[in-house]
Amino acid sequence: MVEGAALEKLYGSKAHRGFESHLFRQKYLINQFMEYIFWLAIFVWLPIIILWAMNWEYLLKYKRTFLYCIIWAFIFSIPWDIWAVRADIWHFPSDTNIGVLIGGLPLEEYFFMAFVTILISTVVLLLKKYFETHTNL
Amino acid sequence: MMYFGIYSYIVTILIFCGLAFALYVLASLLRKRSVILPAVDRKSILWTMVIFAAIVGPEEYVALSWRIWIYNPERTFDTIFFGAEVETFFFITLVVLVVSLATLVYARREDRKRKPGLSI
Repeated sequence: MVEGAALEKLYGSKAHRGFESHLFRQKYLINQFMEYIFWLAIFVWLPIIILWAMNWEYLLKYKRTFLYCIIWAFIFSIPWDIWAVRADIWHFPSDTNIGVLIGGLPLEEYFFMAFVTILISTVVLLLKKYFETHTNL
Repeated sequence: MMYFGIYSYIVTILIFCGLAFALYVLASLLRKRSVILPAVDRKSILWTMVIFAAIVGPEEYVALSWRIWIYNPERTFDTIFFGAEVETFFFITLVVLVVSLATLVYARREDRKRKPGLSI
C-alpha cells in the first residue's frame, strides 16, 4: 500500500483507484484494455441475459419498442457524451478500453448506450406486465 | 465549448434529459391519445427509477475503481455518495424517466396494434 499512498500523494485519490485497478488485473488475470468490457458483462449484459432468458416470449413482442428506444438513445447520448468528453467533464483512460474510438468515444461507450437502454426498457416492460396482472384497474 | 465549472455535469443532464422530456410533453400536446399513459404505468416508471437508483452506487464504484471513466473534479461536485458521484443519481433518475416513458409509449402503441379495440 506504500505505492498506493505515494501515488495518492502525487496525483490525488483517483490515482489510488488506478492502483487498485492494477491490483485487480493482477489478481484476476484480466487482460489490459478489457475492464470496460468486463464491467458491461457483469453489470449490463448478465442482467439482460437473465431477464430475457426468463421472459423472452413476452419481451420479444416488443422488439420494435426496443429498436425505437435504442435509436432515440443514440440520438441523445452520442452528442451528450461527445460534448462531455470535449468539455473535459469526464474522460475514458486509454488503458481500460479496447482502444477503438468513434467520434472520440470508445466503442464500449456505444455498447453502454444501447445495452443500458435495453436493460431499462426490459425492467420497465416486466414491471408493466407485473402491475397489469396484479392491479385491478 | 461552453463551461459551467462544477455545474457542468448537472447542466448536461438537465439539457439532454430536459430535451427528451420536452419532446414527450410536446408529443402529448400534439397527439394526446397515443402518448398519454395509464396510471399503472406511472407505478412501473417509479419502481424502475427506484431499482436503478439503488444499483447505480455499486456499479459506479466499480467503474471508478477500475478507471473505466474518470470525472474531472473541476467540472463536477467531486462528492462521492454511496460509491457514485452525487450527480450520477440525478443522471440515472432522469435517464430512467425518459427511457421508461419512451418504452411505455411505444409498447402501448404495439399493444394497440395487436388488439385494435384496446382503450389504452
